[in-house]
Amino acid sequence: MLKFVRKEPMAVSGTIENELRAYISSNFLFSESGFPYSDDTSFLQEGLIDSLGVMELVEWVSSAFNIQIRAEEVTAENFDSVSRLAAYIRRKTAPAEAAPVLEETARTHGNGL
Amino acid sequence: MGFNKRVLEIDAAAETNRIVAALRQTVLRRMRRYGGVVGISGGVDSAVVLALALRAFGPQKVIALMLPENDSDPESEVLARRYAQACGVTAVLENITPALEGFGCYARRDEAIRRVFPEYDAAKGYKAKIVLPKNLLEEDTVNVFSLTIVDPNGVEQTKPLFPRDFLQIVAASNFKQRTRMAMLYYHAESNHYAVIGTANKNEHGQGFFVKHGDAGVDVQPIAHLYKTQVYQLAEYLKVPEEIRNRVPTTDTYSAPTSQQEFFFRLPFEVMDLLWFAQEHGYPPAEVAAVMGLTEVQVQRAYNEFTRKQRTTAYLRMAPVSFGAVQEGTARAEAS
Repeated sequence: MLKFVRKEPMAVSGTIENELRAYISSNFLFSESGFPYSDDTSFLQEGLIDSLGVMELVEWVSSAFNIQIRAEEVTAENFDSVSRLAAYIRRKTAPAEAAPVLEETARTHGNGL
Repeated sequence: MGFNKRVLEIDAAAETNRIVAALRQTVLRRMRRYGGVVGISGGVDSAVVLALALRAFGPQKVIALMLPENDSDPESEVLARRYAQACGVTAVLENITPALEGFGCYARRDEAIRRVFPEYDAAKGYKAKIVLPKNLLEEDTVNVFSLTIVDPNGVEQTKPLFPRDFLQIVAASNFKQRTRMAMLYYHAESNHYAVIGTANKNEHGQGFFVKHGDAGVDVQPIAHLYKTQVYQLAEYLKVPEEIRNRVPTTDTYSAPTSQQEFFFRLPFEVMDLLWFAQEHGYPPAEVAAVMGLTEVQVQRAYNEFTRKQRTTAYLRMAPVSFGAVQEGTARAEAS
């Protein structure tokens, strides 16, 4: 039976950028020296992350921050830099905007993608 | 010279002669093969390459191979066979479905599709395809593939793909191109011929091909030509209108998928001009004025070309060695 539940965001405001930098350094840059770019650096223009990387990022963000990401939200505006992505995550995890998650959907296909 | 909409016009007769001479020089003298094998799909690229190969080697030294499988559009085989007959060569049919079943191509692909759409069942008439966002010029979208299924009543559903599902669908589907490559080489080696590739510049440069699949060839006679230039050669070589007017498809997924929808995201007549402009350093403002677009739209297209070339560079990489290795030479080598 379907029921709505509200999931609380896991990330604490102010640490999101750190988490993003750490994840990207480790999973896309294979870097041992952290994230050597500014938070406004475009992932796509600088070649830090390709389209498959964006798919990986979407899946990880959805899981790590416990948010439901809609297809139309996967844009450069939301996903193309640490700053943009952090702002997007903050908007999605703001209590007033936290959307209810349909459990059935989440079970059959993860975060609703 | 300023940018204009005629920059891609070519002298089709001169280009044909140049390619034909290069094919003879490369295949007969440098590779020391006796002729060529061309995989024909009923599309314009392979039709042009077959015509070029016939001019280079003659109909007795060319094999036209049709390689359909379970998901191929039946019209492709009809058009390919008819065209080969008109060219004076007998098209050889090799249905690769049993080989693909042996690899588990369909089962592996469908397993991944069912993780996204549990109701998907090819045996009941469901069809599937993967596509990119359509509106390249209209907004800064990201190239994240979606999966579309079509149920037996024709109702479509689309969901974006998780990486694991996307990679499995692509890897399984790529058995098709790699099986075709193996079959092309069977016929080539049986006759001491070379495999003649059919990729155009768009496919080669932007990475719309399968490494060691349709890119597994000996010569690439049209890989330097934009798609719109291939059409110019097709007209000069008298490729039938039924082939020239056909919408280019992937002919890989069971649901019909145009190449524009699957990968390129722009009509060829627009994309080719914009790509040429980017390659030759024309400022977006100048190009926008000629094309009737905004500067932002032209810049989006430029960015897309750069990203695709960078993302797919791996596909064009030769095997990497870490010491001196002997390269092919112009001399005859042991097969």
